[in-house]
Amino acid sequence: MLLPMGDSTNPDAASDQDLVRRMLSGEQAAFDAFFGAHAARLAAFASRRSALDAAALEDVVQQSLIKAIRNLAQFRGESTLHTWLCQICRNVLADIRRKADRQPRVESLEAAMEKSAALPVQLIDYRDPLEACADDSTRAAIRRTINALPPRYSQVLELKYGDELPIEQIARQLSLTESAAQSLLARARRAFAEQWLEQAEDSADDARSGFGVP
Amino acid sequence: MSTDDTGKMDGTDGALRRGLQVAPLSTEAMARIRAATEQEWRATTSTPQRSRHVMRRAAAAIVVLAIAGALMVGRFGGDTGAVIGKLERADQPGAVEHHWLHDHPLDNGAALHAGQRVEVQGGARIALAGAGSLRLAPGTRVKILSAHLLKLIDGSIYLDMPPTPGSQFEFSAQTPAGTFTHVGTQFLLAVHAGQTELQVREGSVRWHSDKGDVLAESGTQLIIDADGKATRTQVVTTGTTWSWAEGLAPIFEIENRSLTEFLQHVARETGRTLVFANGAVESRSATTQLHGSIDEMAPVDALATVMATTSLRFTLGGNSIRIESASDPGQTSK
Repeated sequence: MLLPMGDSTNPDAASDQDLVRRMLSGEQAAFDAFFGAHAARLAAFASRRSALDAAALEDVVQQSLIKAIRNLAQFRGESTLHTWLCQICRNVLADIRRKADRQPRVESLEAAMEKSAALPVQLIDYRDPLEACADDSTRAAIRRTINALPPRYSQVLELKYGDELPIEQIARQLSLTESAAQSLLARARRAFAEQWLEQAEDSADDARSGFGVP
Repeated sequence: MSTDDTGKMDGTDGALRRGLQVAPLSTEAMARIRAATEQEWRATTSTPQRSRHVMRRAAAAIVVLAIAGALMVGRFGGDTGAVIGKLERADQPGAVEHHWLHDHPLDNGAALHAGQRVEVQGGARIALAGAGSLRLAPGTRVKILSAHLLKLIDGSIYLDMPPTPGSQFEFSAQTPAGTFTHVGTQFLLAVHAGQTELQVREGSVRWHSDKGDVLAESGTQLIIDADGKATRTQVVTTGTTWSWAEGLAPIFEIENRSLTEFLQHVARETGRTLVFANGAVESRSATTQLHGSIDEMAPVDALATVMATTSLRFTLGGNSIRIESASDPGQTSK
């Protein structure tokens, strides 16, 4: 059963709002809980959506969290706190991309090569392309396959295999019952497997016909 | 790859993990992120309720700066972050904001805001939006993280937070060694080749790292190497260590100010104590009104210039500025 976002029966929304309220009142334990629960996940979220090096990634996560702290009073519990943080992070990454886009198109080959290592990939909500790792073609192929899935599928796969959340947390994150989350995950995994197999077969055909390998 | 009826998929879980799992940031990086976030959180939640009217006025001032910042954004395409302050002085060859491929020059008066990476090629001074000033030695590179926090990438900065009753403005600087927060103070912070040096001239500074908090008092020097190993020694609060910062001291408007106010400014800027020879000299200093301008003169040069126009004279000691009557026999000036 799909619950509406921000539903008062969503235990995460209530606990997130409580956490935010305690943080706003200056409670150290609340800040510790906030950072412990979200910082590393946010770093992984940003990393999957960019090709930034570690230093730049650190800046992105730090900026995102600082912006979140400054706007903490604006959090209304209409989504989970983590979803809200991810949206802030997306905006930070999008700012970086916009800045990069404003740069002149004519540049030296050397500069272009240096730049290509630092630019983030295209960003589109939960259909964010994740093919950042040019040096890891298998990983890139896996991410392309995930990106090609329906958004709800790629989302649940990211929560399960990227963040390694247990099913009860995935259910809360997606405002689903545990059995619905389990079912969604199974469908998503099956869809991925089918796409992945299809892609592998296409690649093999291309290789046999001389069109190269993936 | 194949699927069976139970939903188990050979290799699928492994492929998904390979595609979606990423290397975590280092412990040190997470500690730095935590320190910066916690600093911002403390600054956000420590706003005293009793001074709301003061905050409203401060907010109005920040709005004005933010508008200036927005104009700069339109001009240079920077971030729309919180304003940390205004570039008050940038010595030749100037200051620049780093972008992805190009550097943009920053003019005096430019509002500086979160997200900007700034390099000063000559020395520079920033008037902080909250209170106090920040001076940057030539060649220093910083990244502004919020209205209360900057990252010192390389070079030296000097924070001067004059003691203002009721002021609760928090300001911190982050280095590879952790976060340094003033506790009503003047301090110098430097980063070179991964090593951090803190020298506290007045007041105290809180050093926060993943190992805990350390309070460094006036006259303390901490040297923290790239591995986080710290050495504590003493540092004199006068002398050449501070010369570059003294040369970037804020302009002191002397017009219609008393000589005593000016002398107090010079004493603070040079890390010395102000000493009057006797009550009569102290009284004469308090009633002497100054006129004119000493724009951008180093404090000691300004002292010599101003004192030459009065009936008093000064002597610079190791830790003091002694003021006495010019007509007293047997005394030497400077």
